[in-house]
Amino acid sequence: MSADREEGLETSHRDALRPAIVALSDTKLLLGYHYGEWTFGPPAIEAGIAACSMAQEEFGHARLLNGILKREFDLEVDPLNDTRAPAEFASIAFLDRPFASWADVVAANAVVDYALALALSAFDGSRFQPLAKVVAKMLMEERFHFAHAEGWVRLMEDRGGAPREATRTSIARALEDTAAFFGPPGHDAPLVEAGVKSSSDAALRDRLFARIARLLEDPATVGLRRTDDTWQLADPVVWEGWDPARRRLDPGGPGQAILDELRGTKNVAFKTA
Amino acid sequence: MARGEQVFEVFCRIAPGDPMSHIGTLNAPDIELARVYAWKIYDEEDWAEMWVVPRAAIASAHPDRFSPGSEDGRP
Repeated sequence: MSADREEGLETSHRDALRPAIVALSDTKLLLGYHYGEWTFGPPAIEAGIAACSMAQEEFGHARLLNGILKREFDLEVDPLNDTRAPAEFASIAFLDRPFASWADVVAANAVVDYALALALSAFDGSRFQPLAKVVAKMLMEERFHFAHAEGWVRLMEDRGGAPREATRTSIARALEDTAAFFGPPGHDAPLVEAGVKSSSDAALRDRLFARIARLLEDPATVGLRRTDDTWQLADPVVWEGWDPARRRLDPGGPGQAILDELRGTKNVAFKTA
Repeated sequence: MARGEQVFEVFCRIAPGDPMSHIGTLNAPDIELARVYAWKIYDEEDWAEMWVVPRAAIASAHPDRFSPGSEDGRP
């Protein structure tokens, strides 16, 4: 146990917190990978630079979270030394495969990236100081991510035709996978009651849906429908089979080729440490 | 602002009170994405201020640019 480990949290809260941080870190790593891939190939050079910059920030956040996991939970999640099988990753399923087109980048940017920012925001002011101390800086960087996403979703909505349809299809898939990331209602109640989190995942999911709905001319086109005061998936999530350790329903995981690239599998001979 | 690729000029101040400097240009479909792109592309300093201006909104005030028939100073 490290000497400067945060004290004061009950074991049950620590046990609940750990998978939440792993899921944030794993998803940020995969999101960063996809942004990095799209440094080249986007519809504008400026968008490629933005994607590259967002990749750096996501990798930076993942590294920061991995440091917390190591110091506070004795958990080693160094991407270059990670030997986990794809089915052990706790990343959002939307990021499992290479992105087919710019529409997937826009959807990941608008839905997955914003979901992670919301999840982080719940730790602003947390009793768990190691995370509370670093959240503000991460959220500062995240502001630009959503501004970028918002710009592109609105642009595609205005454009109409095939680009709009492709973007809506990608957003619908991203929403479904990201809904699972937030888990069944009440699963994180002990962390909220203990002041480790300021907001429940269910409330954060509602905020995600509401913000995406505001960007679209017709939210029904991405599978959202209005119920009372909130937006929800028209096809409600069936929680049977939800894995609390991985925070997903999809039993798969990131493609092995993606993990090999992240780990530098082909370049092991050049490792310096 | 109408959607369509436009050129934006980027101006920055390194510290409050410093002169505003023109640091570059970028292409963007609208002012919102131009703001994001500017911050992502021209991040070499911890700028105190950064502004993006559509090039089409800038008019020359140099006497040489006043030509007969020009009402707004544009060439």
